[in-house]
Amino acid sequence: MVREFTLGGAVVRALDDVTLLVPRGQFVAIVGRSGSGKSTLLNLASGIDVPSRGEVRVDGVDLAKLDDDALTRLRRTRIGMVHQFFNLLPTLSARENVALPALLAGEPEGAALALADRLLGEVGLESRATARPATLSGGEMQRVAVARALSHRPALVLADEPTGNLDSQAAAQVIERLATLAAARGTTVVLVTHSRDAAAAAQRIVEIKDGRIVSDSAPA
Amino acid sequence: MIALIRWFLLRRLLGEPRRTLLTILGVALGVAVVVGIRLANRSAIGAFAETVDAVSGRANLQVTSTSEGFDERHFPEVQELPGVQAAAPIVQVYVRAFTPGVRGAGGDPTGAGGETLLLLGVDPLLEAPFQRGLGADTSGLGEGAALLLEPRAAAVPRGFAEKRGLARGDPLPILASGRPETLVVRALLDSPALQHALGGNVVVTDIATAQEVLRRNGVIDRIDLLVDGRHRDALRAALDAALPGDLVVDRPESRTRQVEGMIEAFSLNLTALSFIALFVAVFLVLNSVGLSVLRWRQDLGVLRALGVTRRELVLLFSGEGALLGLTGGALGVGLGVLLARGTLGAVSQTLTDLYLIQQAATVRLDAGTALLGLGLGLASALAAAIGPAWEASTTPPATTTRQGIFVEGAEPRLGRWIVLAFLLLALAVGLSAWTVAERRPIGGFASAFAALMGFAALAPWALRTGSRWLEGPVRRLFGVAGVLGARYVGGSLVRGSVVVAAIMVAVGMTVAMTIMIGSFRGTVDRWITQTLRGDLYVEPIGHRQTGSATALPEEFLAAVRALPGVAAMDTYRATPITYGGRLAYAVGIDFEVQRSHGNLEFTDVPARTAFGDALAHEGCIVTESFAHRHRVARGDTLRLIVPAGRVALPVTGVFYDYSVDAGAVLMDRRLFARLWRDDRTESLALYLESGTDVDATRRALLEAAGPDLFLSATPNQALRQRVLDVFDQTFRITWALQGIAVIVSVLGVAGALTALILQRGREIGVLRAAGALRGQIQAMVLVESGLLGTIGALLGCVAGVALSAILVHVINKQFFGWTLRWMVDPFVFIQATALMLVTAIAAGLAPARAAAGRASRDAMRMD
Repeated sequence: MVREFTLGGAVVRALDDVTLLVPRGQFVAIVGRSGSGKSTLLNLASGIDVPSRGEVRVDGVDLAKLDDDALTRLRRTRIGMVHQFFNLLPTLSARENVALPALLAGEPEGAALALADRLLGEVGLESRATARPATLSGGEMQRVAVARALSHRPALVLADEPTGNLDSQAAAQVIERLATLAAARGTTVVLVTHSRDAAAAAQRIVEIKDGRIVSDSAPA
Repeated sequence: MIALIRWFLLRRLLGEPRRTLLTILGVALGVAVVVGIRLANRSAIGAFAETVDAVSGRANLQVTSTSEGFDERHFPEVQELPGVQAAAPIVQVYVRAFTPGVRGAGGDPTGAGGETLLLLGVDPLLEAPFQRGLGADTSGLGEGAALLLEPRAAAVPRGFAEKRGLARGDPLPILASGRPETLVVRALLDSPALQHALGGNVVVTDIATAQEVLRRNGVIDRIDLLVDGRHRDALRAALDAALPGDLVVDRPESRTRQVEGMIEAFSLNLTALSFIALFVAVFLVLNSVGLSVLRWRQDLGVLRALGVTRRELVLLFSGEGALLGLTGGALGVGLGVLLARGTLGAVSQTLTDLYLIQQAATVRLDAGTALLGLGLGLASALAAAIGPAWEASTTPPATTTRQGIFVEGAEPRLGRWIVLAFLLLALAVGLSAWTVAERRPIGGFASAFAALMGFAALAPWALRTGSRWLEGPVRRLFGVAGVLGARYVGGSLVRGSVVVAAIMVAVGMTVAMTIMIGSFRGTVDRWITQTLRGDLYVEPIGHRQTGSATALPEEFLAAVRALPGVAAMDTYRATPITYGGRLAYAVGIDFEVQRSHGNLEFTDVPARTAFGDALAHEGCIVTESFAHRHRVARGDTLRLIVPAGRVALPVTGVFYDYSVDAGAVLMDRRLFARLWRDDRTESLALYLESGTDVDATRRALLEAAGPDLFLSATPNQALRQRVLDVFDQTFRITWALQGIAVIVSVLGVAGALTALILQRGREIGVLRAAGALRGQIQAMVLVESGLLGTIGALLGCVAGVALSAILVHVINKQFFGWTLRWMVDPFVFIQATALMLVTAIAAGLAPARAAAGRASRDAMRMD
């Protein structure tokens, strides 16, 4: 894949001839410095950005062949996302945030909320289910985000610097929960991170530098 | 989706109560004005129709005259025609109630109130089939009807009697042609229909009594008929053939239709005006939903990333608009009823003053109007919300899910907007030209709308250019805060343009209406000063109620002619006529006196020529509105059916007149008397010899009238003032509607400024972190609001001038046929700009305080 941006008239290549195959159920960490192209890769994988050249396949589906609605439905059913800044909806409670993807996928409200309660239990937040995001700590918010990303049983979870805003203890908790839950469900996880500690939890570490993959290995 | 609506839409609206309430209030006010005016108009005409129904009873055909009353000898011909099941002659005249010995306001000798009464003269022996509710039993020949046969007996609705404290046997004084006449209450009527007719102010007498007190012996106003509905058309044709041409056979409801036609222009103009506030409200909703999109932009990105489709986002934000619109619409319907109650008096008064329509209306909300209000609220809000909703759906999730990145809607392309503006303005010019050429009044509104949209499309250009021009002055006045304010205004084209457009609409309409009303008033003032040359104008008190059934006694007229100092006396006699299917007036005045003493201004020929030709060839002159409506010019011939038969009158001139838009045909009084077989005089104008004391003449005149003739004798200046008072009264409601439109636009400005501040929360945070003082932030925001107000007002002034030209030269001319002198008072620009500047700054106070109060840490964390 190649992804180019035009900035101030100059063409900047964010990803340069990258090929990455992630088998089903694998936990992959993508590491690299700021501006290396990690997040661009994640956006391409989620279909919220399109490559300048090349193709992206998720679960065997060529994203280029999907229109906006189909891409949205794919995200709704097959992909879960976790962001660095949590991106919880502030007007919804923790359980409503978690229930949202299932609800969007067509689950009845009661069932979606019951599922959310169970997932919140699995991330250790059953007591905070009705709390609004503003009253949660950073670690709690990210655990809610993890629960949300898994709530509709996606095939793929894309996590963009999920520990970037957390202290080391909270970060470890989040990664541990993400890895455990994904493994239990057979979910593929692509984790973009700066953190070597976070990356260590993955089965495979891919390093990107200046838009190219410079290493692809199992953690030491 | 329902859960989404509940979770997002409702919580969003409830979570931002200030924005929600402001928007709902704006929509409610916009809807309220439309509903209020519609209700006031419909109630007034509905009350008239109710009176027509009540006094018609079960009659399903009526014979009336194209002039004032007709000879009762036609009654037997009609009654005996085969197919007529029942017939009844009717006298129906409005009179004035009075209380002897009690002086009303301004020393009115006829007592307080001067209430209008509907005097209905019936033949009790023929009433039964019509079931007008006379008498204690509704068969018609009950106690009440029988009692009417007693001398001067009257029957009144029970509610009327209770209101005035009347009981059987009590006297009921009325004024007929200025003369007091006393009826005696003999029966109380329980008819609900009569209780509603003219608010229950109905007095029923025997027909002979009515003719006697009105001094109209042998004259009736109508014959009510009850015919077999299956043969109605055939019978109508037979009646048309049997009766003289000036008698008209029609259904009772046709009178209401004619009146509706007569006031159509007035109603339609008021209705069009009522839409201005709603139009401004559309900008308010646009802004509000836009603000919502702005505030929720990051969450939109999250929702999109989670799998919410574009369509669902459009539905969510359109749903917000719909909910705001429906709630505003429902509130607007309620407010509209209140507004209608407040404006009904003014509308009714105008209908009485300008169209001589007597009615006593009460506001009743009908299902159609309620649905219209809800529908307008919904439609306007949806129309406004669809743009921001679409904008929301295009929110790119890739960028908005990243902290600190804020994406404003795409910057408008100035060139495209300017081209669009000029296309719309060219369309406005084209529509105006078409309207004038084709005489299609409705085109005037389309032209005004296109012009408004054209100027709205100029808003981005005005904002960019204005902020650049004004940067220098605000820099000198407010330093760096001023520069930042100006730069932000120039850089916020999307939100800023909506605010500028909303202000432009409010200011533009205010300026246009002010210029139009000023031009109208100036024209009328000049016209009165020029044409009203009499020194004293005399009419019986109650003339406005009794109308053409009024007659001054001959002996009084002779006495006035003989008064010392009277150089000439002009007499006035008018009757409603139907010409080209529409109501108009035929008027008899003294052309000799007009030629020598009057000063009517003609559009085509000198007055002397018009009067001279009319006198020489038994012609007529017509008002400008009549000429315009019926496409008549000097040299044409008017064909009229009058009591004397069919006549053809050459038109010898068209003159300016602003008294009645239905139009009038004027002829010499002698010709009028011959054609209408009526030489009575309703009112008169006296021209005094130079040096004659007007007050002394007035006293002498009132003395000549004697104690039993109540007259109003008004000197020239007082009459002029009275005309202008009526004018001002007519336009009072216009100002009220304008005021509401301005209030809605202020709500819009307040909402939009909040949006702009929100949009710049991060920049404000950076400024605060960099050391900007609270005062500087406040100054910056106030400079922004002031600049938006000023730019919007300046654009509004230009738009206002253009719109006023359309109002004066296109809409007014085509609707009313009046030529107005376009007069622009520059003060209106200063007034409008200053008002909007103050308003905008006031609207910016709360956002400025909020912006200055925002801690830099919080502001930088938001988005």
